Amino acid sequence: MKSPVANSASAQVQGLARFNPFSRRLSPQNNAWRWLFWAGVSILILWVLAPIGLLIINAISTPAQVNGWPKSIAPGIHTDTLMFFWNYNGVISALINSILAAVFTMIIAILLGAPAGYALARFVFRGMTTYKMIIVMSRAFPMPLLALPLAVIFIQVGIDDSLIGLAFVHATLALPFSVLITSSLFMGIPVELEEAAWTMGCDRWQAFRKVVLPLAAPGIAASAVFAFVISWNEVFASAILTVQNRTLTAFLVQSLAESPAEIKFAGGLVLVVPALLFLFAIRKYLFSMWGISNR
Amino acid sequence: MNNSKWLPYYLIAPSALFMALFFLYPFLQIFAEAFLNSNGEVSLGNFSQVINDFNFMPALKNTLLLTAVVVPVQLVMAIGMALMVSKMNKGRDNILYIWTIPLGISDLAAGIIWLAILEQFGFLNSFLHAVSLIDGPAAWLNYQHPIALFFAVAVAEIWRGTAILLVILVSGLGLIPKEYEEAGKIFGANYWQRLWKITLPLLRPSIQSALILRTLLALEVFAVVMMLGGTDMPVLMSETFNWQFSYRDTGAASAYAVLIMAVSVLITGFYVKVLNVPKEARG
Amino acid sequence: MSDIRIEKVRKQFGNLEILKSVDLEIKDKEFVVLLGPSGCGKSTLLRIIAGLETESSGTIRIGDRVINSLPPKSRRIAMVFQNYAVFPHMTVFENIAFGLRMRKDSEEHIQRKVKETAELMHIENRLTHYSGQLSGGQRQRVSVARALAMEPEVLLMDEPLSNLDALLRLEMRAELKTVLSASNTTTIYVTHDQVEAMSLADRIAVMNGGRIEQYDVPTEIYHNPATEFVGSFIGNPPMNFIAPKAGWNISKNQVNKLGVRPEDFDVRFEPQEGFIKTNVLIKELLGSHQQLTTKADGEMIRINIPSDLQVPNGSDLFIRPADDKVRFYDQAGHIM
Repeated sequence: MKSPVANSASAQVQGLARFNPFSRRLSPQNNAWRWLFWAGVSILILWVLAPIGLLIINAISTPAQVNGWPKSIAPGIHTDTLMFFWNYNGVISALINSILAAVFTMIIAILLGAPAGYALARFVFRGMTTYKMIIVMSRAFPMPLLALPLAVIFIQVGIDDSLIGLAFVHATLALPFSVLITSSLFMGIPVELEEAAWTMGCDRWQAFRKVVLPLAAPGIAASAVFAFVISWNEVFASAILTVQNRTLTAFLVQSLAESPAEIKFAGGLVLVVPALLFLFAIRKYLFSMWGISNR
Repeated sequence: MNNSKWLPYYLIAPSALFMALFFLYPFLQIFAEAFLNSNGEVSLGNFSQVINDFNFMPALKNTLLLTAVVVPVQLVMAIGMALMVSKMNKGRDNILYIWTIPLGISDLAAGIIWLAILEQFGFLNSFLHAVSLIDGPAAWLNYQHPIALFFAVAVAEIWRGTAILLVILVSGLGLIPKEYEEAGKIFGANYWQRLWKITLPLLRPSIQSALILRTLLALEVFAVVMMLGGTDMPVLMSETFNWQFSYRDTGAASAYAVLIMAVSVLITGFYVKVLNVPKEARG
Repeated sequence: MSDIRIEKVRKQFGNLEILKSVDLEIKDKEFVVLLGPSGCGKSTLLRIIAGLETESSGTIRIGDRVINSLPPKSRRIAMVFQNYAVFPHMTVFENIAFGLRMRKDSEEHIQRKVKETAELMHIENRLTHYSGQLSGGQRQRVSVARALAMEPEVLLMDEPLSNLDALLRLEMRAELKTVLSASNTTTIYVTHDQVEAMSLADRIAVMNGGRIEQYDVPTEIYHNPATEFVGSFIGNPPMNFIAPKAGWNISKNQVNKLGVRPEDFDVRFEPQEGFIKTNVLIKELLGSHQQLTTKADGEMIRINIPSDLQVPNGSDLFIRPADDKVRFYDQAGHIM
């Protein structure tokens, strides 16, 4: 059973103006346009996918092939580079740190963001516009810069070089998104459903748990994933705030000079793959996220 | 319900407190760090130190130039892609997914991806060698080839950052009722006339917010540059990072941060003024 | 006893007064319709009774309980919503059982009650469906069944038929009438559709601008509209409000307007004592009768006449209200 929220999100995507210039009579001229159109589409697909493909090829080459000349597009499948990366000093802990920081970020962003999103969707209250404006504006702020003063403050309160401290910074990046995404989610759930639950014996919290939450769950999960990816991908603040407890991105940036090339390529692949999987999982919500939150 | 008067405040309080603590406070702290010297006196010392540094002008120039090259190209590409998407029936969702893939890729990973192609022993050189354009490995990505390095970074940025524009524009297109375009057709406008006179003007609010967001992100370019050029191509963010991480000088780094914010504010103001859509003309 | 007493209920949003001191008494087992144009405050009043909104002042009693400060769940009410509000993530069965489960009825009672109300609303073979698989009419049946299953003291219905198409609405109206009169539940029903109100209500409260203009049985509302507003809101076409005519020789002291229903005119083709001349502007044949829009002394008068009478456009007619059908209205628009 699809939830109505999912439906409304995809309806927004599906409802895009869809007229087809090629559906009329197929004159030779139309045929030429059609050919040109799909050629353009194919080139753009190649433009996006080919570089990722080449990275994958590098990551499954042997270290000798990575540093060899000239490169082959079909070097065969080897696990040497990935194994070398896996066994390289500090990689596993960096991976674990990246995951931990991202999970912390996700938890903070959802736990703090979803209630605010609900408030924006369901209430009209004094200060609402101001709050909303700060949230919208903060997305355009170079958040990673906040890591500079926080590096000093974290030392003072004793959470320097800690993943929770880093997650705090990542959460300032992710929180505005989670507020806006969840508020558009909750807006998509008719308030009458809640009111019906109230008249049928629920208090506010029960109505939320039994009616709103099941309907919003897929969307909330998607925005949690989004928060995870934001943290997983973040470089600047990670590189500044973690020294011993480095995340994967911090590890790759900080060891730029000394680490061999194959470490970078394998690390690049390890960075890319989970982000792609997550993005695939939430692709249905991508447009409602940006579409609504950019108004 | 009866308890609803204070409820919204309870609900936004945690996030508001969090943002105050980790956004507002450090935001003010940046200014404090930037405008105070080591004795706690107000001074412009950090700024003069930063501005007189030999890397400052190149960093500023590189960042602005990169933005000026990358953003327009991305905008044109994204508009073209969004219009293509709007004409698709079958395969639309899959193609859209593929085109938005770079959205999930960090700038660091994007840098690595293009490093694999553009480095000395990379795929581009191998290809050029295969078609006999060069004899052996050639290193482009260093200070001896500043223009090549610049365009390498620009290509990687274009590759990575177009998706965000595409997503905003596609959802913006989705908000335009198709009746407008149909009306244009009935009144005899051809495709290009409809595009210029109907679709693009109606898309202006989306274009505006997309441009602002993308430009601000372009000013924060960091990891792509670090990966492809190392220290050979200074940009504002990488200089900030160096002052903080390598030279351990938070005051100078904060001065850089203040400068980045100032440039961001200036450019946002410029866009808002130039691309302003009058309230009455919004759908 | 589930009689309802609403006393001096006011509702204000900022400077906007939605309800201006409303008093209403509803007897046990009575079916009352709140009727009025959009924005008249009828839905707000219903939602205040439900506890979905809070009144600015006033009291509401069900039986001898003051329910003002109670949350909706403690008011022993049930509500049917305009857009059905059938939970999309639950089956029809679970929707109907929802309220019963919330008050922790026994499983055996729930099974029996759901089956019973589902049969009553003819959805017993839809119990395993989700709302996405139902038509609008079926969803509304679920919504009504869900409310009835609760056996509430008061049933509140907020424009339950207005989202259905015309034919379905007619069918559901007749069915609701049977089901609700059999259930013997005190019911408050909000609508802007006068036909729905006339056909369903024991009593109608006609609302306008945050006030109740008239509260009475349907025939009284139709034949003796308390105000010009009620007369012009009820009836299709509405009641004529005409300045007293010398030729008719019917008037009272301080009368401002005469109220005459279009079907209550005597019509002649020739001049006659006590009749005035009126000129036919528009003629509309409506099947059972024809409706004339005429002009007399610069005033528009609508007249219904039998459909077999031949009246050319532009011709003159001579009219007089039937004797006991004239109502008199004062300067303020109130009946005298």
